[in-house]
Amino acid sequence: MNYELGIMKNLRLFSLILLVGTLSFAQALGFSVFGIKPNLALIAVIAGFFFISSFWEGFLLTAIAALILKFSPVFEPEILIFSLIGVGALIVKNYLPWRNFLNSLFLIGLAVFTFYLFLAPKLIYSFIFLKELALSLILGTLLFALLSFLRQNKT
Amino acid sequence: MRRYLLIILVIFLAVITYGTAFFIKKERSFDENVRLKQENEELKAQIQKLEIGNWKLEIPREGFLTAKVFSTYPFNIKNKLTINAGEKQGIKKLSVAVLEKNILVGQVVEVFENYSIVKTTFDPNWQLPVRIGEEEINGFFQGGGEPKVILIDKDKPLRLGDVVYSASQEFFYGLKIGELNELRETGAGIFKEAVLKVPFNVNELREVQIIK
Repeated sequence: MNYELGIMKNLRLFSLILLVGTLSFAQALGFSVFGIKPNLALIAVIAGFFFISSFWEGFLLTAIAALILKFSPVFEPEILIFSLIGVGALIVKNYLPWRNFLNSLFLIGLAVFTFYLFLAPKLIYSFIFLKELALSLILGTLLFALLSFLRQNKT
Repeated sequence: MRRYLLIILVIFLAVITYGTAFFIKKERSFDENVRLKQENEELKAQIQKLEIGNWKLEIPREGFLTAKVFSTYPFNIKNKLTINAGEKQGIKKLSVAVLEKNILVGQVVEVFENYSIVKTTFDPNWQLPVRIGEEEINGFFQGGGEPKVILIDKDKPLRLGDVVYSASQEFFYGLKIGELNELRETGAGIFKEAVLKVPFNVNELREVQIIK
């Protein structure tokens, strides 16, 4: 029984790594919708947090996404901020009062806002930010639904 | 056991990401159409330069250094790019980066031994004095996701498509920044502002010229 549970846990983690890895690559290769690049990696990592079985799995997903997103050989503050937001979301997630679906959307919205707050606060008043926020929430909803569906079908 | 394995993996990945120069190259094939589009923009900038007619300065060919642009910036902000030339190749802080010879891309803000970071015209913190069109109308360029020229005298005649070029002491005079794409009256009504069409897409840049 424990053995089976262990296999299930590893399988789930592997699926999440695959999902986060694929979406991070898509983002790094310039995936965009109507000229807006959604922060796919951040959305995938945060949605994934609601399907992990331990805190360290969340760290692992964040670290993988950060490595894939790294776009040049020098230290990039953007990637550090991405990682810190990921870790922050992982902690904050445990204190949110709503249902998981709403919690994930709230965290995605907050994460996109925080990312801009640190990197380009002036853009928060622009349409770019609003479009990215809307797109992130839509994609977050779809991803959460997909992950919930996969979990229900496995158990 | 599983937990320790995860911890080791996280530490390992963090060290690679933040402590080494390793990164996964994600170069897409360079589209011939993109190259032609960039050449076309450069030719257009040259024609606009001739039309205005007072740009005497020509930067000699040997004053340029060609540098490759590292993969795509993965966020919407597109305010910077990293190039494969640094101190060793003669790059200095505040050197100017251009596309071909006449289109302003950005300015070097950090220099490492073999790499440099260029702040692009999409950086929201970038401002510089500019001139617009044949009338040489004064304006103030404001970078950002939607670059624009602000503080334009509202009585000055502006046309969509007018060229906007650098007029700051920091840069070579007359580097093309963009063209007027949308005109707006500001709330106070004293000035006009204009949204710019920038002649390049940061994601499509594969190489830039650094003026040494």
